[in-house]
Parts: sequence; C-alpha cells; structure tokens
Amino acid sequence: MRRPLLGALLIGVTLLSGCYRIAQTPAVKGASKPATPTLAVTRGDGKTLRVFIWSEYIDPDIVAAFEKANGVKVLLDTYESNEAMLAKLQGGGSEYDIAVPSNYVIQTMVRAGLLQPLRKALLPNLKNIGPGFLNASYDPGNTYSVPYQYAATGLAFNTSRYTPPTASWNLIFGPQDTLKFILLDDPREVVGAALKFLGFSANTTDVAQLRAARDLLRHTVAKRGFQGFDGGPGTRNKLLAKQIDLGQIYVGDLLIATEEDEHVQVQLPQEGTTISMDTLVVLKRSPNPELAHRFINDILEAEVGAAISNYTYYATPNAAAQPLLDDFLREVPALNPPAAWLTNGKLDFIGELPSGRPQRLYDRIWTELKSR
Amino acid sequence: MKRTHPALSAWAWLVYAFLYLPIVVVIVFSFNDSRFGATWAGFTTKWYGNLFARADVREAVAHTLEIALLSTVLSTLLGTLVGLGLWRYTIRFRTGLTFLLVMPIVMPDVVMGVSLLMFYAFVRGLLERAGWTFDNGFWTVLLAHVTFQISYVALTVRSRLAGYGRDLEEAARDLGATGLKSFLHVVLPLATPGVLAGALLAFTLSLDDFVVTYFTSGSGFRTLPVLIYTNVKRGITPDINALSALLVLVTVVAIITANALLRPRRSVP
Amino acid sequence: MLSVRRFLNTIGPGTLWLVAFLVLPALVMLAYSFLTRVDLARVGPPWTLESWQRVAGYDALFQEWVGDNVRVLWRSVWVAGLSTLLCVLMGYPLAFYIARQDARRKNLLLLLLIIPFWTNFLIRVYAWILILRPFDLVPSLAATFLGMVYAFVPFFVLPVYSSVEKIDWRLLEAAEDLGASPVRAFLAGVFPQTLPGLVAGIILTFIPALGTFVVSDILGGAKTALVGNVIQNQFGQAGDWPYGSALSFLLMGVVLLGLWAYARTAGQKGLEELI
Repeated sequence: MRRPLLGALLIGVTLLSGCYRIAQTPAVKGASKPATPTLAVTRGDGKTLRVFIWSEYIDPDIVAAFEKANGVKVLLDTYESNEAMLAKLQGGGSEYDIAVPSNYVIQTMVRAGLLQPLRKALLPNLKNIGPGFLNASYDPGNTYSVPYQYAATGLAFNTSRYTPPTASWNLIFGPQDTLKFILLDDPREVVGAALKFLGFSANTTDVAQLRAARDLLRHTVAKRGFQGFDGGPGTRNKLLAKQIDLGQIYVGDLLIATEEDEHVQVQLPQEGTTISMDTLVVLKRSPNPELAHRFINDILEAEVGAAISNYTYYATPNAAAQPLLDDFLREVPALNPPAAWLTNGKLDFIGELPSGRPQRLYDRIWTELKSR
Repeated sequence: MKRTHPALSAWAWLVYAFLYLPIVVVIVFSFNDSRFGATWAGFTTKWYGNLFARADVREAVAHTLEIALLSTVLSTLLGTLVGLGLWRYTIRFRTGLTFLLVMPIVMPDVVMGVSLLMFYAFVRGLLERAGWTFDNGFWTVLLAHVTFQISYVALTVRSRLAGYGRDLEEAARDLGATGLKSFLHVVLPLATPGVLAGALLAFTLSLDDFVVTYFTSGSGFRTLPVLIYTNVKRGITPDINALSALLVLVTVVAIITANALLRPRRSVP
Repeated sequence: MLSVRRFLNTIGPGTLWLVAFLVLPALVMLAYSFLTRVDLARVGPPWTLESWQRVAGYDALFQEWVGDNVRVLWRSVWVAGLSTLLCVLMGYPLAFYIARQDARRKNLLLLLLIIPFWTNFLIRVYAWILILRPFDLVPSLAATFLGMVYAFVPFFVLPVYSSVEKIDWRLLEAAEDLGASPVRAFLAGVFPQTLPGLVAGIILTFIPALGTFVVSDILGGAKTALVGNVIQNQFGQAGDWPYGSALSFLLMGVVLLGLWAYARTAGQKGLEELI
C-alpha cells in the first residue's frame, strides 16, 4: 500500500522543514535587556535592509541606487497611518530596520522600547538639515530621529468633476450634504481637521472642545456624501478616477497626481490645517543597524533629499537640498503656506498628546467614528 | 419517489450559478489586459508572469505551506490521540471535554485570534523580565493553527470510530495480542480513514486560515491569505486575480484527487 | 475501565494544548478587559470597569451615554440573522435536491458544492468586488449581505444535507396516506427529521456571521461596521486593547451560552455531531 510510504515521506519533509525553521530562528536572549539601551544585537547578514515606510513615500530610483552602490537588497513594506504602523510593530517588530513615524508618535515608540538611539558618528550628513528643524521638542537632541519630509493636510478636488468656491472645511463639516467626500484614515488628522474648523488647536486636551469636535464628526460621517476613510494614495486614486468631489489628503500625496492629470488640485483650507514632520528612525531590534545608518545618511545628502522631494512632492527639511528642488515645489501654494500661518496658529504642528486620558479621548472619538 | 419538482430543480441550479459566478469572474478577469479591470481590454497572461516575479508572493506561498504541513503533522498527532481516547475510554468529564473540543470550532475566529495576540503579548512581557523576547511570526502562527486544528482532527477520528465497539480491541486482546499489538493491528487500521480525513481537513483549514493568522503573525511573516487581504485593501491589483484563479485551480484539482483517492461514503464535513 | 496512565497518554497532550492555547488566552483576555489602555497596544493598571461600561454604552471619559456600541451590536445581530435566514432559504431546498438524485449525480453535485467551500474564503469575498464595482454597489450594506450569504451558504448546506440524506421518506407517505395535504405531510413527516441538521447548520452559519469582519471590511466599507470590525480596529489602529477584549469576551460569552444551551437540549451526542 502506498499510503504508509506517502505518509512517512510527508512527515519526513515536514520535520525537516521544522528543523530548518528552528535553525533559522535567531537566538534572541539578551536582545532587549532594559538596563543597557544601546545594546542592539546585530543579527543580520548586513545584506538586506527592511524599511517600513508610508506608501509611495520614497523614490524607487533612490532605493535602487543605494542597493547598487552598497551591494545590498532593500525591501519596503508600507502603511497608511502611524497607528497602523504602531499596531504592526507591536508584535515585536524585529523584522524591520527603519521606520518612518510622524513626529507625534516618536515618544510613544520610545516608551514602548521600539527605538534605538542614533549613532551620530555614522550620520555626518545630519548637518544638511535646516537648523530650525533640529532639536525639536518632540525629540530633543535628535536622539532617536532624523527629519525626513513634511507637509500639511489639504482639501483636494478634481476640477473636471467639481471646483469648490473656496478652500474651506465648511464644505465637509458644514450643512451641505450633496458633495461626495473622503476623510483620511488617520485619527489625528480627522479630529484635527474638525478642531481647526471649530477654531481650536489640533492638540487640545480640553474635554469640552473635544466633545464639540466629536459631535461635529458624528454628524459628518452620517452624511450621505461621506464615502469612508482612506489613506493618501487611495484618496488620490479616487480623485483621479473622478469618483469623489472632495478628499482630505496629505498635500504631497495629491501633488504627485498633477503629473497625470492637472485638473487634480489641492488647497489649504482657510480655517487652518494640520502639519506634521515625518522622521526616520532605527528600530531597536534592527538586524542591520549599521546598514540602516548608512541608508539614513544617504538620504540626508543634498541631491538625494531634493530627489525625494521632487518625487514625493512633500517639503524637505534638508536645507542643502533647497536649491536643487523643482521650481514647481517652490511655487505651489499648498506647499508654501503664508508665513503668518506658522505663527497665528492656523498651521498646527500635530504634537504628542500627554499619555493617559487625553490620548484616550481622541481614541474614543476615533473608535466611535469607525463603528458608525 | 424520485421525481423532482421542476421548481426545486430550477432553484438548485440558481444556487449553483450563484456559487460559481464569482469564481468564474475571477478566472476570466485574471486574463484581462487592464489595470483596473472594469472593462474587458484584451486577453493576456502577463499577470501570471508578474505573480511569479513578486518576491512577496513567493515568500507567502512558502510560509503558508510550511505552516500548513507542520501544523497538520502536530495537530493530527495530538488530535488523533484525543479522538482515540474519547472513543476508547469512559470518563467522567466527557461532556466537559467535548465542550472544550467544540469550542475552537464554534468560536468566532476573531475572538481566538485576538485572545492569542494578547496572550503572546502577556507572555512576552513576562519573558522580557528575564531578558528573552520573541516576535510574532512563524511559531506564533503555528501554535495558533494547531490549536484550532486539534478539535477537527479529534472529532473526525472519533466520529469515524464511533461505529466500532471497543470490544473489538478487547477481543483481540483476549485472543492473546498485547496492548500495543492490538492497537497496531486492530485499532489503527480502523482509525486510519478518520485520521487521514482529519489530517486533510486540518491541512485545508490551515492553508485557508486568515483571521487567526492575521492577528498572530505580525508584519514580517505573511501567509497567502494575509497577503491577498492586504493587497485587496490597498486596491485591486490584477495580480490578485491571477493568484486567485491559480488557487481555485489548485483547490479543484486537490478536491477531485482526494475524492478519487478516498472515495468517501459519507459527506465530507 | 480507566487506566489513568493510558488515559493521560491519549487525551492528556491534546487537552493540555487546548488549555494552554485556548483557555489561558481567554483568561488573559478577560483580565485585560479590566485594565486600562496605557499606550497604543499596551495595558496596565489601574483596574477599571471603563471598558465594560463602554460595551454597555456608557463612555466614562466623556461621561455620557453613547449609543454607538449598542448600535454596532444590534447591527451585528440582525445582519447575521438575516444572512442566516437567506442561507436557509437558499440552502434548505438545495439539500433536498441533491438528496433526490441518483448516486453518481449526487456525488458530482456534492463535489460542486464542496469546491466553493474549500476555495479560499478571501478570494470568494473579493471576487464580488469585481462583479459589483461596475454597478457602484460596493461598498454597501447590500454588498455585505451578498458576501455573507455567499460565504456561508456551503457551511449551512452540508450539515443540513447530512440530515436530509438520512430521511425516512416512508413517514411522508404515511402522512399523505392519512389524508394530510402535501404541506402538512411535509411539516409533520419530513421536517422534524431534518431538524438536527438544520439546527447545526444554523449554528455553524449564525455564529461565524456574528463575528465576521472580513466580509464587512472588504464589501461594506465605512458604514457597515459590525462588532468584528470594531474588535479588529481595537487591535489595530485604535489600540484600545481593554475595550477590544471586553467586546471579544462578550462575543465569546454569547457563543458559549448558545453552545451550552444547545448541549443541554441536543445532548453530548449532538455536540459531537456538529463536526
């Protein structure tokens, strides 16, 4: 009977595979002794870099160039919001070397023991970053992070389908109910937009203000025109396909689309909006921290910084890269808000919320919106 | 009384058409030369080529098979033992044990997935104090799969053995065979169809599992269902149509083969 | 006839495994539901009833009653219920049709039924996007129903079929001989015999439908959040593990209660027959 032989063969193969697996699993004892935070175990072979990054946030040519110049392989994995990234990293996250969190989650990641301090000696190009962007309050001394790109959140539309009379959050939060719109799949952005519309700070911890924002948002997602939440690229694609009238979107994500269709535009709403800085960090259990530092240093080069911005259409904190930027980037209003906005509060840098109750207030609102 | 009312026939055919419509659509679209797939734009096989070029697809397939094979072996071992024990012995907590066994089958996947996720986090927290840690990846998924597979195997084995009385084994023993011999020559052959059926069931369950794997796998370890899900969420890629069509083909071939080999006399659960 | 060591040898390992990876995690989940969300995906003291209050509809942070959770729970129940009903309408006659065929056709029809059953769940759901998108029907609640019924019909038909196959048709003939109308005869003679399979099928359909999130996530979009979606969100983006735990435990509790009730009525045999 062939059955016993088949069975034995199958079991043999399986056990072999299991043994191979056990041999592959790296020994992780001592990988995260809390007493010595700088002890990052180098387990990798130095040949593969795994980067966890926002969708479509880096020029593939740059990645390819780095691969070639260093004889390594770079694997990209993507996400659409910080919270999604954090959720995925919660299971350990030792698969990745680099992540790209926004400024306001960095301290959360530090508290969760996810980051390792940067070795500045390996990052000589750090001097290219504009001094105004260094040593920010979200990461004093740039212990853990290096600024990467930043952009505000705007209101996008496709003039072939619909042109708004003014750029205003009122089109979404106000009384009208005929426009089809999409909100970003990002708690801080959505709640932030509502807060800006109401004239409050996007970082408020005032319960009354948050309650007002929550009530406004409840009403908003109940509208017939509400088409759901989506990430930047998803919203952009729907605008290109003329499926919606308005989309809340990161300015850079939208501007890429102008190459395909110049009718697609984005503007900063007059009530003000949120802005955040995305940063590069090295994860604590990165298998190849040296390679990771090399990658970051590469990105900090002036040409590379400019190339990235020219690709992503986000603004770059790299001062040395400014002269190399496309003219378009310097002219488009959405990327160059009035200077006054930075001081009068119209442009709100999303900040870290004090942990505990304030964070939970925002979460409550978000959960409620998502379960309507 | 074998006449079938025409309305019943019509209804049955309608249901079958309903069941196969999406499958056919997916297969057809996998050959559609269009990025967004809304309209037919010509015949092409390039999406299949694309598929094999994708490292993440190859990796996912490997992971899926690894987990399925290893988990099936483990769960068949453990589950068969339980099934045999259930059949052979009268125990006081029989109902309780059966309840425990039925739980993974009846429980919504999301509850199992989520509870395991937290359990792993809890264990990780304990281990971290000793300086150890682990990732959510291969082993966490494997343990999860075995957990729900055991029940299916145990109950399948038990139900196949249900027809045979325990006295068969006793008879063999009375005639002089030792416990092990009676087990090998009497019980095992009787149990084998059930064990194989249970193993096959466990294998398929593991291959197809999405929810539990989704919660226990972390981001670095992808199986095929998880890969399909993340791709579908991000936006339709024609590659997924090709992948789906291939998987359907594999399933059809597997089922027809299994049917021919095992020649089941009762409906497969 | 119990040799303790023999017994432990057979049932022991499997049972231990289930206790370790089923019961213990459930207990951890219960414990977490009473803790507080400290950071995304982290829990810690203080111990609190906040999550359970939230499940019941009271938001301790904003200090007011919120309807959203109750609304989600209710939506999950009626969507699962209606989907199950649709599965019954579709699948019950189908079981009869198959049972009435000759042996070869029966085998073929069963095969044709099993193929969708064993095809990857996600693919079957995703395929509906391709079909419904040109009609602008996805994402929508209707699409969710379609997906649910489509996904669960095979789960329903197979247990029902195993009952239908065993029907003693003589009971029907007897009822008709006694003068009952065809409908009455069916209800009296045939229907009761299908009850075990019918009940098993309903349980195996309703419960997964109650806890599903894949179908509503892919086909339903933002406006059809079911309890499964909310739970998924808590363990993903929202990061509120205590709340997610409470909801999961509630779901599990409902299922266990139903199972226990079923076991009381159908007996231990009925339990084992579920597979």
